[in-house]
Amino acid sequence: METVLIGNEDFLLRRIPISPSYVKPDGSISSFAFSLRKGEDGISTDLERLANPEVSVQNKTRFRLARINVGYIRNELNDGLDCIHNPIPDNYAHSLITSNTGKITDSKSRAMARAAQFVY
Amino acid sequence: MSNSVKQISPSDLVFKEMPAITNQGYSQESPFMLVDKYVIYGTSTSISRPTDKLSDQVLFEINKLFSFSQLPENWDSYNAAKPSKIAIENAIDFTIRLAQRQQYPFYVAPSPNGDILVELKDDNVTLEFIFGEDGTNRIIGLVDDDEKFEKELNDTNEICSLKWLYCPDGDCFNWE
Repeated sequence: METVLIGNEDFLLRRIPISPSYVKPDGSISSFAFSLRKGEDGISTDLERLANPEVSVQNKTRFRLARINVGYIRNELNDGLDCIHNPIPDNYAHSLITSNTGKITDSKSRAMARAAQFVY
Repeated sequence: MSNSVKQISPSDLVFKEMPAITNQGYSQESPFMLVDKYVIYGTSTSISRPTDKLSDQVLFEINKLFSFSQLPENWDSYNAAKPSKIAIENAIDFTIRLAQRQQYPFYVAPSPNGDILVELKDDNVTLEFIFGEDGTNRIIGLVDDDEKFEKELNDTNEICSLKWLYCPDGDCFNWE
């Protein structure tokens, strides 16, 4: 599948679980929402400009949808983080937040959670 | 501190199955969560001893933690692991110890890897108690979201970190 270049002006979409909730009582997003799962090469997201948010959210009774700026991840968090387009058969918008160390620290996950804004 | 609270141990609690619940507050509490506010029923053939010495608030938190055991694999749609039974038990155990000091979690959640987080907060200071899926537990202390320390969870570190959060000046009657 053909891939596109992701610019710093782009945004990535990420589902945030509602039950159990990754939104804390004060409205902030838990860092768990932006942490790597075991065996993952990157944090799965959808590139907003290629995505339909109604599709990306999958199920509004189970998830909210948050967006985060690529430039923030690359330039402000830095730490070897990058954002790459990674289309998969049923989701051309699929993209990854990757780390050149293979790890994303808790502090970077917290920073991404703080920087993310809800779409839904 | 109420002496009656001390009489309850985690082994006294028996739960019925229930759906996972949210952190959205008491008003939206699932009607299936507690059959009775003061008695948590066990399996279809057994009834636990009354737990009316635990407050509603701690029962709510314990039920929320227990509800995580009902989550399936991939509950977050990003391949999250099913929360670990031992992590849930350790988190419940800790929540009961916390209630003995009249303190309650600010936020609880399962991690994507099966761990359980119990987060305590006081203004800009946060303590994250992370109960590992492998039975190893740790504490992270943060001020304004900046990490100040990370320690293995043991009796000494537990009390020291709680005191750091709730009684930083060291002159509180119930922290000695």
